[in-house]
Amino acid sequence: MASERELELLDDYLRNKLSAQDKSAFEELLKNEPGLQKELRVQQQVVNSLRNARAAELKRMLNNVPITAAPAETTGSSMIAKVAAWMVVAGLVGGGLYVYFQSEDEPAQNISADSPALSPAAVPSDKPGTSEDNKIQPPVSQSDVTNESEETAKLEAEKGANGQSAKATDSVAPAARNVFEPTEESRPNASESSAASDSNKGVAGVVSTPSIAIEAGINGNNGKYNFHYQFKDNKLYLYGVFEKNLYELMEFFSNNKRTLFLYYKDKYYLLDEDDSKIKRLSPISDPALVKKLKDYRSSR
Amino acid sequence: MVYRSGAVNEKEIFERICKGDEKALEYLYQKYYRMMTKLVVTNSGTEEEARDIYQEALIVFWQKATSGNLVLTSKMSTYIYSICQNLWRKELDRKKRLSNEEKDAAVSLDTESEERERILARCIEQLGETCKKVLMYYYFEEMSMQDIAEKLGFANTDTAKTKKYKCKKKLDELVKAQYSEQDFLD
Repeated sequence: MASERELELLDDYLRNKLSAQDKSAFEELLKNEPGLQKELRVQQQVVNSLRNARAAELKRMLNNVPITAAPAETTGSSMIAKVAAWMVVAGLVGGGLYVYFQSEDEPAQNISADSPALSPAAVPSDKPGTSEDNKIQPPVSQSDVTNESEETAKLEAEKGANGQSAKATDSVAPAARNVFEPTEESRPNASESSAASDSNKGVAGVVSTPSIAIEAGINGNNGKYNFHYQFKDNKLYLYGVFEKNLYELMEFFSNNKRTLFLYYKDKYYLLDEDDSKIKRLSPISDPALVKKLKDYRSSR
Repeated sequence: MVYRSGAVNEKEIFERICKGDEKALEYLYQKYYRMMTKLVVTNSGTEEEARDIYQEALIVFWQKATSGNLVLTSKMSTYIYSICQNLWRKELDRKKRLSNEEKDAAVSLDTESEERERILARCIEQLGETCKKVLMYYYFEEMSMQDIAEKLGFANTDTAKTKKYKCKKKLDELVKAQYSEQDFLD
């Protein structure tokens, strides 16, 4: 029977924690101790078995992670929904998220900037809300009825895809001309100090379930929605060719309210979550706000 | 107001991985899923093989990182990608060898070692959840006692050490009792 000390050595030996010198000394010791050799064999089996069990556990864990991206192959005519990799933040109050995406073609640029002031959704979704099993989620054209059953929604989607019954507004609500005049508290730079104190409360957190899922669609054939977005069922749908270029979602939280900006090709877009209409993406033109957003991005 | 971008700070994710944060691993898994599986799929692999290879590669990466044996000199994705490449190359070689030798390949089943593995797996299952975790983190992740204590909410590293010692002892006893029944100890 091996001594405690020998068992300890054995343990370190199996975990490769011995220095070269100690290792060769131990191997020397092994040669002359058949009892220790036997113990080593048993311990090797035990440790290997633990390792295999752990690797299998990790594999199971990964297998349960929903993979939400669409297949890499795309055809020009098909609608492709691609869900972003997301990063989420723990804590009720706060967190932001940035999403990298890749996109291919330069989208149409629209210089008009009539985004209304926000009253962002009060309750961030707490479920992953992403389509599972590689399911391709067609962008849904939104009708006036908001509480449709899924079936209806699907039908609407098909119709929308054919360009028959799309009711999307081509621009945002005729609200304030002022390009997003954020309230003092929701302004990104408004309260550095509270940001600091909030992160002290542990927001600095964990990757956990996402607060919103994003799906980018290519809708090559449908010229109507070439650079649009829509919030529906707690998902952000992007219409247009967003495939290969980088884009990011910036999420600001203030008093449980969320304000979202999209960053895409050096421009910032305010995302209005008020309703689920399809709206055109219009870059923010207020230089002050753009600068703030830029500062936030570059500080990351 | 809080602004935290998930602009997934490469360094932060890597640090979390080193600490054994599984959520960070899941995040990475999702983030690079298409990129990594594409490598296999476009090199005559199936979607399933691609997933397997990617998972294996990620676990290799994870194990190296948690054990503190990894100094990252490139992006994580680059590193993981190269592991995928190696694993897939090996797998292709294995398949090739297999098809060449197929006809006279006698599959020898080592029933004794299979039986041993079954016993070991059963013994591990008999441990409590915490014991299992402590031992896995210690032997697979090779985490420090400090990290194990933090992760499992132990008061300090001494608690973690004691726990590990007791759990290992228990496992050894279980295994040896079974082994001697089966005469595996000789």
